[in-house]
Amino acid sequence: MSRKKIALVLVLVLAPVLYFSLLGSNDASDTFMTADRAVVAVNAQTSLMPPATISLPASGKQVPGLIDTNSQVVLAESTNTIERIRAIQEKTEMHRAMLKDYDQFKRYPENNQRIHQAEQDPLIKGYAIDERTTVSEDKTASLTVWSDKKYYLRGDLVTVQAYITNDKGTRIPSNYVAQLIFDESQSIQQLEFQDKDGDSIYELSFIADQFDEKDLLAGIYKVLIVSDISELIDSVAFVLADPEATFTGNYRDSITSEGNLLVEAEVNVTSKDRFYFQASLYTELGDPVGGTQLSQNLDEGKNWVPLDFFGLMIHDSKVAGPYVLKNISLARVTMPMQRAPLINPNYFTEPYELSRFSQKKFDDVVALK
Amino acid sequence: MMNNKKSLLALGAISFGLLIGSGQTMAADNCYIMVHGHGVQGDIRSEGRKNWRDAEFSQYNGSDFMDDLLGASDNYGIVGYNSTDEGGYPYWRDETAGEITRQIISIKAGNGDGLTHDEAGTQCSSSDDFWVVSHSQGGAEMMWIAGNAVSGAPYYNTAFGASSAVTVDYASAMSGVNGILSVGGAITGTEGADRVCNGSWTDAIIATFMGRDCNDSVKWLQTNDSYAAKSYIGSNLGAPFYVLGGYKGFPGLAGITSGLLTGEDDGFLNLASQMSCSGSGKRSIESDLNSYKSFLGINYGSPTYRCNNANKGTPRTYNLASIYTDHDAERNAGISSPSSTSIEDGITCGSGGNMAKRINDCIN
Repeated sequence: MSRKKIALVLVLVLAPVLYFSLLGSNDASDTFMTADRAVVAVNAQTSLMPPATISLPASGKQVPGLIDTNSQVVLAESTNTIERIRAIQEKTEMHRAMLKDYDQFKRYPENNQRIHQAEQDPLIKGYAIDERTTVSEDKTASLTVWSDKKYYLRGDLVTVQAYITNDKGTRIPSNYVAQLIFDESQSIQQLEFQDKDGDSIYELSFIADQFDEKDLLAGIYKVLIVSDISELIDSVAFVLADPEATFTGNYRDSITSEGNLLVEAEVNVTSKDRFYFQASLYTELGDPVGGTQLSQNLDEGKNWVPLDFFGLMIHDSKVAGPYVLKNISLARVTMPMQRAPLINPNYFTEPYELSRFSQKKFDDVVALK
Repeated sequence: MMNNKKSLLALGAISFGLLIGSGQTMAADNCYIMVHGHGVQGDIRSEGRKNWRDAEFSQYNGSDFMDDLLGASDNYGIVGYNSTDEGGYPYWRDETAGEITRQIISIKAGNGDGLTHDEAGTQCSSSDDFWVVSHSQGGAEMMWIAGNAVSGAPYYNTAFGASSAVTVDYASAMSGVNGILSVGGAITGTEGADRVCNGSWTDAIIATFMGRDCNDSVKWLQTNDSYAAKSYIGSNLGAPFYVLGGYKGFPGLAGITSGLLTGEDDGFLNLASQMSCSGSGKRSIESDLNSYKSFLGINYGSPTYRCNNANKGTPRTYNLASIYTDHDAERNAGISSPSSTSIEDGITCGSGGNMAKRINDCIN
């Protein structure tokens, strides 16, 4: 063995020894984490805790979001920069990307977004399950965990699943301990995983409502999961939401005087607040057209929420109506955001001809004003 | 020395322009607005400037992000905010996002950044072309700001104090910004924060970089979607977001941190988090399947997407570069010519330099 190889072996052997000796407090007894110790550590950590949810101040001021060229705040891009880049004969790929982005951004109002593929639908993405995998330090095992939703309403059944795979990717049995924690600071309840069908995918579930006869507060909850294999630890986090509003299931649609599609959704509000809405429109055959978003203060009671889809965005789909309001969501705008479940109303609009929608770019509409 | 270097570069550029008699439109000066990452305290602006040349590792001593970023006529403005564990402010607070926003507006108005620059004549003017360059936590800050600068966004022009909301003009801050360049940005958090908050106290090196307690600043940098900035923005951004990710472990013994981070990483942040991919911020990008997992023919779990622009996790976001650089060298440009990996459907520009040089190459 050459001197270089001997030196390399020495470094590889001594490095971890030196590392752990330098850490001082991290002696061997600290390296295995039990659930109890993990929870104690979590509980001991946080001294500065704001309220679990922070509301917005009550205000009658309308938050912009509708397609209104008179009142909508329009972000002024550096037109001069863009024109200079257009004039460059040998553009970099960055220049081309900037121009493409600029032209797309200016084509529709900023609260509208064309959707080319269903998997790009921001609603689908926003509600997608947050599956997480943690690999052990020695790379011999992985812990994968997820919950069946990211946002739950009071009374919903919360289901969390976990499994361990070995270095060959095969699921293997494991013992788990789990702890429900609120806002990273309060230990609520120890939970138990079970593998009833023997497939090595372990599952626990509970009703998100009460523990020890106390109502759970709205906010972010974490299920801390500790496996006895390779000291693997991870957590699943979810929001328990009190959105204080629901869709009634009533919808209506029309074409505006500016040639846009207006779909209105009726919402029943139980507490005055600011709410955030997203909706996505598809063709009758199931191809995505585009999405819209709106942030609006609503009073208690029934409200019609206007969802504007820009005329040119519909034109760009090259498909005539009827159109389908496929996905719609609402959330109460607190911190954290309290989202209600994703709704699939599958509401069909009137069979509008494509020619009834405006073909003007939003930039041009603004310029005309 | 820097002044002389810039003067010579400027003279050279002017001479070259006169010689060739360029027919192209005269470019304005670039103004880079610099938004630092986690852990800056004290005199936040001067400390903010230091953050772009401080080095945790001795081999990067003497390097400075600005040396590689600035071209002959480029300017910059330093933004400073309290990103410390002691402050404990999440990315959505007035003390972080609000402070950044107000300073961006002021720099864009031509008020300068209040610092005396080592490089003469590099304060921004109101007629410059504006770019925001952010590092680490700065990426999460800018995602929140840009994502709530457009009409209809959930937290449109809103930040939070300790117990109530305040109005902050994100829309004005983003107006006229050509792009946000996120360097090693914690767009979907870091597994290091997960480990700190999950009570996994064996991970002392990560705690050295981030702190040892799950204060609110760290808490909101976890990779769970419930905390990630992408879950608190709307479906559009006020400015395009170009991301540059690092995937080299720290030098020497500190390289052990990479063993604590799943998938590729820069020693501190998972690459998937930096690159604005769909799916978990801590997953392995190399093993993207673009499909559901299946057991006995039944799909389960969530689909994973390739980390490309078509399936990105946030709107109006573009993968610019994935570079063999660690989290420290990302902000001090301590590695001059690192290698890089192409990204499916990403933007290819720059001539193989570090993140600072690549930004300069791609823009000019």
